[in-house]
Amino acid sequence: MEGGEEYAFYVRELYLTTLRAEADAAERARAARDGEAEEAARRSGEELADGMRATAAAAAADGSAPPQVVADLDVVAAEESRLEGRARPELWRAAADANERIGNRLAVAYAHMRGAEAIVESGGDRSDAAAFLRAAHEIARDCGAEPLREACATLARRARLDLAGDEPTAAGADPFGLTPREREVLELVAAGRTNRQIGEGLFMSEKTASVHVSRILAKLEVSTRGEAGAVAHKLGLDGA
Amino acid sequence: MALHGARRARENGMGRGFASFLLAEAANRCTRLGRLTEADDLTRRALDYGPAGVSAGLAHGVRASVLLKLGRAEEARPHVAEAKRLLRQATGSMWIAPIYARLAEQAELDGSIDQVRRSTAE
Repeated sequence: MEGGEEYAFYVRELYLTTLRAEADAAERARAARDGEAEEAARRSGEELADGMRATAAAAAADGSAPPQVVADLDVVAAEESRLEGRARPELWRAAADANERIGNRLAVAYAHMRGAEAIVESGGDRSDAAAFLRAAHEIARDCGAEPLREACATLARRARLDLAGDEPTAAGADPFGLTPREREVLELVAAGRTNRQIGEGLFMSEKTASVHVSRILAKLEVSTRGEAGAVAHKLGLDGA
Repeated sequence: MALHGARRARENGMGRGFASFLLAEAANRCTRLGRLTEADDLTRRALDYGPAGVSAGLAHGVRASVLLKLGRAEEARPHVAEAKRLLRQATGSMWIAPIYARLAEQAELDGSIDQVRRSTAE
């Protein structure tokens, strides 16, 4: 390899890692309703996506680009949809297929996980989402890719998708009789999240989040969210 | 091919340089294929040869990559730092880009988007 092809091949990981981090940052900023941070992440992410496309084009200038670089462009397109806050499961399926063809199992698992998330966010078939997430989780577990496996398990809990029962949705019983879903909401209450942010984080409406919070306050016999957070922290129910 | 080359290099007394380099290259391929346990073993063996210079930089960099993907971030940290030190005078994206990818990956796990951006900008 030489010239643009070599460059594209070796910088691809740096670009993809950073693009993924920017898409995460955009999602976090959106949940926190921080328009400035979201815009910064989107701008930076778009520059990276453009850079990736330019290096791929350079790689293809004297022939065809390496298959990995071609597959990366599918990932770039899918990550751009996350940057923009658009759930596009079909883009993640394309990214998974392209990486499957070249045996890049970790990239396949990542794309399946994101695809499952996009299906849930777009109101698609939850059994499809669960199937993709299970596939991602299985690959990550087989490979020993612990951060990726954890990310799958976290998504399963947030979106209430079944991972074939090998990931319990909550810890053991608590003295207040909270349901697993209420425990998840309480974790976010303890972290200072608003009902809107809780709804976005757990794929429920703001209204539903509000109902959960009211029930939690009643069960904990407290009157404010701050007190609920303090009780949760004291009893180890805040996920810390 | 890399494993075959590593074996031949070792037989010919070139373990420190070529065998280490080739084992790290093989580990790189295994990582991409999701064979992380194998890659973990290969990078450990690559470093056991006591490589120097760019071979050592490559071996430390690939070892860091494997450890980060396995979720052993704290173990990865010194390998990232050592790879960066060893390759600081190297030129060419082959050597430099993977190190900054590791720095970005590490910063991503730390949840620091600013550090991710700094690594990429550097």
